[in-house]
This record gives sequence, C-alpha cells and structure tokens, in this order.
Amino acid sequence: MAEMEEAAKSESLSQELRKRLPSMINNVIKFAVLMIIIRFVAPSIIPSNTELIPNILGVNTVLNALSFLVIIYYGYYILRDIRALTDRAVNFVVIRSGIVKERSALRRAAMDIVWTIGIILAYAAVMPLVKGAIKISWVEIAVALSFLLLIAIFLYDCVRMLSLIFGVGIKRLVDVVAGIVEKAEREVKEEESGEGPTG
Amino acid sequence: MTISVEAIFALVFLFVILLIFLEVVHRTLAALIGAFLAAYFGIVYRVFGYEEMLTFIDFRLLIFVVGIYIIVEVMDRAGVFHFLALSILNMVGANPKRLMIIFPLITILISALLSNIAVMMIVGALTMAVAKRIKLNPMPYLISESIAANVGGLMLIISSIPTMLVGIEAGFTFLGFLLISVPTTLFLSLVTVLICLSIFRVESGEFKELHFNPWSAVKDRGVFMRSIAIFVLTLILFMFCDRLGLGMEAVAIGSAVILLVLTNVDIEDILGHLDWPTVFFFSGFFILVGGLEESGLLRLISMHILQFTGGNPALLTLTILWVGAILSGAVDNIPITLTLIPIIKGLIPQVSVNPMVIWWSLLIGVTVGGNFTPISSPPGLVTMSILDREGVSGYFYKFLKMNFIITIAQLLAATIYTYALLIVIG
Repeated sequence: MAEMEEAAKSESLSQELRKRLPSMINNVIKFAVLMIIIRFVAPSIIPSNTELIPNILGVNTVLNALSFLVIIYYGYYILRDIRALTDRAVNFVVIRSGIVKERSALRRAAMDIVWTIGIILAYAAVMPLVKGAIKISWVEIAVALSFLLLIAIFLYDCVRMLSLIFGVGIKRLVDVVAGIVEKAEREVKEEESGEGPTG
Repeated sequence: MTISVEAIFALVFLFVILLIFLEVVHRTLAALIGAFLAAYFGIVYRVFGYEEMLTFIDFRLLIFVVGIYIIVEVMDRAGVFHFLALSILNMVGANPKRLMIIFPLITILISALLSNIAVMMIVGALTMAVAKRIKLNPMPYLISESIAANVGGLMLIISSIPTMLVGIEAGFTFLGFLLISVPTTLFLSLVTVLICLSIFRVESGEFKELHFNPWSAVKDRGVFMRSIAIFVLTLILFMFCDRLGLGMEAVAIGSAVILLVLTNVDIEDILGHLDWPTVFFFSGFFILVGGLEESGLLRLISMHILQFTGGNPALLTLTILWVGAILSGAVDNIPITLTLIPIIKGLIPQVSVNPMVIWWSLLIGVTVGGNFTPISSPPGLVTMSILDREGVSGYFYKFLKMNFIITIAQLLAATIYTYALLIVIG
C-alpha cells in the first residue's frame, strides 16, 4: 500500500518528463554515435576479416562484442528512463480513472482488469460505427491504436500491482526462511560455545 | 483487430460479474449495465433483433416473484412469522442445547416462506431476547441460524429466488418439487443441526420456561386470520394449478390481489417495501443471459462440461453441485443460477440422467454455497449487523471459520445425497 500511495504522490508526469527526457535523448545520441563508430567507421578503417590473434580473435568478433556491451550499457539507462516515464504516464491515467483510491493493491489490480475489459468492450462498440461512418483506413488504425495503448496502460498497472503483491509475499517468505536459518545458526553457535541448554 | 461475438459476450458477462464481485456498483445496476451492453452488441453485431430481445425477459417469473413478495410482505406485517416463532419458543422452553436445535429449525421453517434476510431479522431479534433473558452467549445460535436460513430456502418452490427460478424454468409442479424438496431440506437440516451441535458444544443446562406472548406480535387479529387463510388457499391452489390450467404466477398474483383487498392494507406502503431492486436485477440479467445464449457461448460451455465429465451422470451432477456452490460463495447465487439454467438446459438432452437430479444438484449447490463466508450470504450480513449492534466484538474470524467448516460438511453430505438421488431416481 505504501508503494501505491508513494506512486500516486510522486512527481508529476511533466516534472518527470523534464528530468528524464534530456537524459534519455542524451543516452540515445551516445548510443547511436557509438554504434555508428563500431558498425560503420571501424570496419572502414580496419578490414573486418583482419585477425588480431590468428585463428583465435578477429576484428569482427571484437566489434560484435563491443556493440553487445554498448547495447547492454546504454540500453539499461535508456530502458530505465522509459520505465520511469511509463510508470508516471500509467499513474497519470490510473489516477484519472479513480483506481488509485482503491483499498489494496489486489483490488487495484482487479479494478485494472475491470477497466481493461471495459476498454475492450468500448473498442468493440465503437469500431462498427467508425468503420461504417469513416471509410478511411488510417482513422481505423488510429482508433485501434489508441484503445490498444489504453489497454496496455491498465494491463501494465495490473502487472505492476501483482508483482508488488508477489514481491511482498516473497519478502515475507524470505523473512521466515531467514528467521529459521538465523535460529539454527544461533543454536549451533551456542552448542559450539558449550552454552546450549543441557538435558 | 476483430473480436468474435462469443468473446464479446464472454467479456460482457465477466465485466458484470466483476462489477458485482468487487461491489463497484449495486448488483441491480450491474445487471442493467449488462443488459444494455448485451442489447447493444446483440443488435449491432446482428446476433438478435430488438423484438427477439424482449422475449428474453421471463415475465411469468417476474409476475410470480412480485406476487409472492406481496403475499409475504402482508403476512409479515400481520405478524404471522413472529407469532409462529414465539409460539414454538414457548413450547420448547429455554434449554441451551434444545435451543441450539430449535432456533435453526425455526429459521428453516420460516425461511421456507419468508426471504432469508427477513427471517434472520426476526429470529435474530428473538435469539437476542432469549439470550438476554437466560444469559446465553448468542453467537453460536446466530451463526447456526444464518446458515440454516439458506437451507430453508430449499423447502418450497416459493422459498427463495433460486427455487423460484429453477422451479419455473425447469417446469416443476408444486407437488413434484415438494416430493424432493422435503427430504432434501430435512436431510440438510439434520446435517446442519448435528454439525452445529458438535462444533459449538453447547451444554444441556437447566430447563427454564419462556413466557412470551405470541399475540403481542399481532396488531389486528382479523388481518392475521385472513392472511393465514389466503396463504393456505394459495398453497392449495399451487398444488392443483396445473389441473386448473393455470400457471403458478397466475395463482401468486391472484392471491396477492385477493390478500390486498381482504386485509385492506396501504397498497402504496406495501408496494414501496417490495424488493424492486431484485425484480430489476432479473430483468437486466435475463437480457444478458439471453444474449449469452444467442451468441452461442453457453452452448460452448455446455459442450466443454460434457467433454470434461465424459457424459458420466455422477460426475456431471457432482460438477454442477460443486461449481454452483463455489461460484455462489464468491458471487450472489441469483446471477449464478440464472447463468447456469440455460447451460443445464443445453446439457439435459445430451445426457441419460433424470433432469430432476441435475436441477436439484444445481439448487443444492447454489443454496449451500452461499454460506461459504459470512459476507457471501444476506443472513450472514444481518447476523454481523446484529452482533455489532449488541456490542459483540472479535467474532469475524470465528464466524468465517465456522461458516467454512459447516459449508464444507454440508457440501460433502450433499454430495452423498445427490449421488443417492442419482441412484434412486436417476
């Protein structure tokens, strides 16, 4: 629940955009530049069939490994920003639907499902009218995409809530297991120091 | 992206059930939303026409329910049920163990005629009066009564909404229904009382006489006598209505009109107190279920049930019993009954089982299943409000545990009973 409230109270979408967008653009540019260097510049300077260690390590392998590292490194930062922005965007929509006021994370997840079904039904209700009234294929696609986006937002929030519940459950389970292990360790220590209870 | 008609109707149904389950809106509003969506999709996607949609509403059942509601409301105001309960209490006296048997039995007897909420309010108030007079802990008695209130709903075709629904839809006669309902209710009552006695371990204690004046509940003896007379006449007419060429709804509404005329009660007041939300709920849900049927979804579910059970009569009846019970534990038993009726109608021609057994497994399942938790049945909610009002605290967990244990025991007993029914008449 605390996380839910925190999510609702946290920075607004516009503040988050101000903070995340420059960093995201920055990372995308760096990523693109590095990839251009690795994929186009480097092979034009050094032929890709050059072998650095004969029969063991070629330039092509090194460049592949480098691009892999760049993808992982910048991909992590870009995805982190995208995720933070998605979270805020989802909160923005979910707050407007009134779901955030729900009593528990489980109920919020259930309400997300209700909204998802509602949106699918709204799509099914609207599409025959759109198809009949506006005979332009891109309008149909735009309408479908907007509904799809809304569905994705609610499903994302649902999965987020379920993972929150699951996470709390796992934390409790881990606490229980850790407690048992701790108790066993204490007993072993006590036995080893000869201070354990005697029969 | 195109969505099939079956999927749309399945989503509409799931949407309505979630609205009811999560208590997002009142169940009547949820059913009306469901009806609106079913009507819209049915007409826009050309599954059915407007005229055809109107035939989904079973007006016979609506008339029957309204008639019974009027009769029961007038009888309740005449003090018939209070009189009955007080007279029985005077007869049995105030022995704690005996009361543990008698209170649930009174509840079952009255709930055969009255809605289980009203029964719980009457018997609950009596229980509190007796408990205060002889210094008893009222909780075990109230819990057993709240469970018994649902069991009593199986006694007559007019006892509860599921019996009325199944009775009318399956074409039971009043006597034909009674032939199975009496042993079923007696068996389940016996099981309930025995479980309550063994769980609550009430000591015998001393016998004390109770001196309630039953007539204190009756304001006008003339109205009281006339309402009993009309009710007895109604029951007789129910028994012979098929020979008279009348439907049960005609008898119910006819008797209600005669009762209103003879008792000279304030009709606006009576009509104002009827359970109109349930009547509107029916109308909405009839359209929704009609839509599900026309879309072919219910036929698909029937086929899957048939595949799952392999047409085995025992497995089929027990599946219906347990599925009905579990679903009724989660959601109100009225929408579950309304949805399962057309599914069962689709199953009956394909299996070599006496339809009576299948209908009864449904009825027992949805009736007993309502007891799974205190909040899944109206009598449980009334009991909690009585306990709150009396300042009893920390009862919920015990109530929940008892409800669950008793319901599982009742369902196991019902499983044996249904199997026996299958062997005898299946």
